Amino acid sequence: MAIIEPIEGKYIYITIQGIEYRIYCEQSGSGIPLICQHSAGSNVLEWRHMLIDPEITSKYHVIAADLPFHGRSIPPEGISWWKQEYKLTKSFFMDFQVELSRALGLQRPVYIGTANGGFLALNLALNHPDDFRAVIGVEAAENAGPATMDIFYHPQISNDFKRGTAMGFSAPANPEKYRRAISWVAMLSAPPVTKGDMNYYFIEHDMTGKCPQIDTTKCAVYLLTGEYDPTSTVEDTKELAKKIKGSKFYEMKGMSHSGMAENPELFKKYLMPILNEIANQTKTV
Amino acid sequence: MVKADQIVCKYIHLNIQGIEYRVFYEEAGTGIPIIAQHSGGGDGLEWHFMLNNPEITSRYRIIAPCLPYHGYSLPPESEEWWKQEYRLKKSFFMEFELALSHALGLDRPVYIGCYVGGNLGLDLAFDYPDEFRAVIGVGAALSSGQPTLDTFYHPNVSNHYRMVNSFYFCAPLTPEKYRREIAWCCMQCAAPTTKGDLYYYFYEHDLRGKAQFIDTSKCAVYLLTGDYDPTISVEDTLIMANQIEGSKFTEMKGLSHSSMAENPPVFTKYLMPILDEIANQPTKK
Repeated sequence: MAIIEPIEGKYIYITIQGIEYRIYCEQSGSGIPLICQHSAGSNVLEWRHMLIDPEITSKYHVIAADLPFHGRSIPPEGISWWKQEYKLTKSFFMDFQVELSRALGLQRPVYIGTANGGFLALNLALNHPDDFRAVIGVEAAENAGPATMDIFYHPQISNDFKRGTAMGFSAPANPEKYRRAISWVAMLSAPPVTKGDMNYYFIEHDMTGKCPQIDTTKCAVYLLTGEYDPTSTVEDTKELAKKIKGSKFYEMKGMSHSGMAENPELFKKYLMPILNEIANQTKTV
Repeated sequence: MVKADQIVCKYIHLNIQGIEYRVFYEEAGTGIPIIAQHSGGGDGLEWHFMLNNPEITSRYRIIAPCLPYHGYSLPPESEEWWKQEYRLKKSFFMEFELALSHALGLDRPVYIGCYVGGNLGLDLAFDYPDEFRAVIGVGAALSSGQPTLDTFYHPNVSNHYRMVNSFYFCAPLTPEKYRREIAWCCMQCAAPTTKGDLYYYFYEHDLRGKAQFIDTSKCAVYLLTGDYDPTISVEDTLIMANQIEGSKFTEMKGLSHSSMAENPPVFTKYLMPILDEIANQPTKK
């Protein structure tokens, strides 16, 4: 018998800010719902190791969806989307998570996201503490400062550039097979997408002065940052953690920018205590 | 209940030529199995209108895979695949379809493919007539010449080039939303893939002197070509059809290169009589 993995992928229809999107969503496991958000210019393949890990899926209902314009969530059929530049806005990104959770009937899911998705964790904790029991921000920071984004989308720059960037972001001791795979995945986004996602990352995400308002008694905040990440450094996340009372920060030694995909075994070592803590708290509530 | 397509997506592990691949496929419907193969640099997404058409899924079980190195079927984890240039070989391509059919326990499925996949339909009818009850070659020809492939993979050529290609390959009356969607999906393939696929298309597929040996009493052969297609002309397909005794060729008026995605209602009009004919054939063993 051929091995068929326990992941089930479905296309569901979700209305966000008045527009209906056909969303590709992978699910596996049962238990506490856990929404896994991919990073900029990427897709659900980033989370494939977690979706098939029985240690996680025995306790968690793992959900990974492609954002609109990413992977299998192709642009919406109902509008002339090609008439405007693709830009990910903070409000859309947050509404997407809330609507996804509602559509699937999830009860206060845990949210985990990396890079772009890691930044979003903080905005969800600030703006939607009643919708999520905990957020795990991987490679998160208060802000990333403005930057020029033009190199991310240019007719003379191949998607191979994204592969090169992903290879360069990878930690030195990553197994080569994972480093190569995550770099391959980085090539799978349409050219306008990464730049558009960076609108949220560089321009709209800014937690300056807002972190003290996050109430971790309502929505727990966990932060994980890889020691080698050149985009959000350990110091950046430490600064952030200090400003969020009750947040828990862990430095991931030996890791870099895309931990769950670039070194899944090592990532799990840091993630499992958090997932266990959340599971134990859920039991006592 | 959330609105959802009936499509279910899975990952299956297939052993092809001694290497294990994690293969993504979309599936919908029940009845006679059909394997729907995407084109060069494509993805199973190309077939989503067929997967969502109840007129077809009420009688047919459609399986639309992503070839390894395409869409959500990543390069194989056990191999150092990055040490060699990606090239799609005819033998691999044929054995992929067989492995998928066998792993899913399909009983002599129908095969339908477009362009790179359309040409493969003829190679399957020639080499494996006992494995398929019928093949439907969309945009197929005896051979396609041996042009240079270098423009398909260059660090100074963005994936946008593919968007423009597929945009202009569409027939004049293609609804804009479908034209835009095809062009978008074309941009989502990894940089080296299209060039590698065209190696099969231009260099390995060659049925000159062989087509007349295809036995359509074992495996029926249907051919569909759009009258606007700039890559394979109606005349190209007619030349082949004349050499395959018992094959049935239909010119698709108003369609071009990616007919099943560029104008699904018109494509369905040409496809349904073929599917009806196959369904009405007595089952042979």
